[in-house]
Amino acid sequence: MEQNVTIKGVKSGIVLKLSEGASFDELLPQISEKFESAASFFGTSRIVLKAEGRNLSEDETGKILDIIKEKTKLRINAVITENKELDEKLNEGIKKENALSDAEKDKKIDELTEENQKLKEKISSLTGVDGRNAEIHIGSLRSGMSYEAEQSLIILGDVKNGASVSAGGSVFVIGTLTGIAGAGVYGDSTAFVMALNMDPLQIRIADSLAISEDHDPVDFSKAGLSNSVRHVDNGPEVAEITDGHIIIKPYDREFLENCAFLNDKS
Amino acid sequence: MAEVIVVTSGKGGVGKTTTTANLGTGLSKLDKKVVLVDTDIGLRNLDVVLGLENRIVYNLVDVVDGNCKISQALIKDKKTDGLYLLPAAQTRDKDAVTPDQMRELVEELRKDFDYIILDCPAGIEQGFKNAIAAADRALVVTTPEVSAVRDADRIIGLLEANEIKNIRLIVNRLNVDMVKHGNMMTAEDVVEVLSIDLIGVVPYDEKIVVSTNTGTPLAGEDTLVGQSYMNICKRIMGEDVPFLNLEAKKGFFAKIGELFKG
Repeated sequence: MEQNVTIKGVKSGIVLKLSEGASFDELLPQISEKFESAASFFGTSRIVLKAEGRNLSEDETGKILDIIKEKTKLRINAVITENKELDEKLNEGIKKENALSDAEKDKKIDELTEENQKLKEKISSLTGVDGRNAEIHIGSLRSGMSYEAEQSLIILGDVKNGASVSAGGSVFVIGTLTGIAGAGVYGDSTAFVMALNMDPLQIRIADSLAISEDHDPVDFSKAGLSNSVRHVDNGPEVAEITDGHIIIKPYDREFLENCAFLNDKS
Repeated sequence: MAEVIVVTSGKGGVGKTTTTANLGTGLSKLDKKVVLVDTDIGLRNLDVVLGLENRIVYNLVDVVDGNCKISQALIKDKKTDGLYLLPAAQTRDKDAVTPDQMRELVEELRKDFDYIILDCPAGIEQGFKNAIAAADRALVVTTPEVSAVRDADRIIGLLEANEIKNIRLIVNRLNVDMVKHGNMMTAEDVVEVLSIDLIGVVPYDEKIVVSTNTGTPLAGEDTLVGQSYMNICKRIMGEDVPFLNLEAKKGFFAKIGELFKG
């Protein structure tokens, strides 16, 4: 039996052959089926559709185009049917529609590029931290509280055991640090942690981590009640990476003159 | 086959965390591989009682959120071989984890450990639900006080409603002198009220306060408390161990004094 509907791919597009032996309504499901099964084969190219074999009305051609739109990812640039007048009319419409969707696409691309640019700026602003910019947090941080800053961070208060602070730059605790402090969280290994009273549980700088000493239980009576109520009074101190290790040292003139974080960035 | 035990009480401050730390220490001294999971998110304590708080980098919530692998969050105990801690997060709250996520986490841990002990937060809210979700059996801790016993009763009801069938009782901080003078409930009284089987009685001892502050559990040490915990561990493993006589041995002079009183 001769097929009522055939699709043939040619160099410049697709030829759709429709027989005159059946009504258009009978053909429609067959057309739909053909395009559906060939959709993956056609891909996303822009094509010219040539309809042969029967005289199609504007309405009928429209229905065929809708099917193609729905079942495949093809984009129709032009239609050639047996009726020249109809062709012109249709192709004008197609042109307009294509122009519209092109404009939409361009707009979308512009938006995405802009968004991408913003993200890139954000990333570079995070990795190239300017230690001279700092956020100030007023008040102490108790157990369970945490505070994060993208640049440097100044805490006017204590950071207690169980609390944690972190910053892309350096951390300054104008108070007692018994909790966890992280500096240079985006990788700046010259960043440091400074505290008026330095007795931290942990110090993290870039990829390094230092933990507090374990307290010998035998010395318990001498050490005071527990880690959190020991009294350390060494004056202001800083923790920074020296020779690959996190070292705590006095916050003094020598430190200020030699600190890479403060001096290398003009 | 790994066994998952939840240590719970309802009332706060009766010694769940201390019990968890001591049972973990005891079981690993009996050559078991044990992991202690602190499910008290936002109010963690188990790390302090074990003296491991300075080692915490990742925690339970990090594991559940996929920020790290379980092995990265596990902290090896500094004194006892075969004992590990999975710490809770301090800067989050109980809603950060769901019962389903807890079950999944515990399933992972089952592969590597003999005992998984879950330290439950006080209360009967989300944290409690998370902690009991994955448990095979439960240890209910209570002190011989009416308020603690009442809360324990509520907890036992909830555990039974959640189809945890193996529930045993630990009576903690029993003051032998007070019991003798009729000023405190006996362990037997507590058992009678709660009508579940006793797995151990731990006497009151000031040393526990010191041990908690220094992060050194007493299980296995040559004290009444240390032995009581060790005996509970053996009973957990299925051994039949007789209960200790909790009356502390008296010194020579006290005995003489008693003679004269006599």
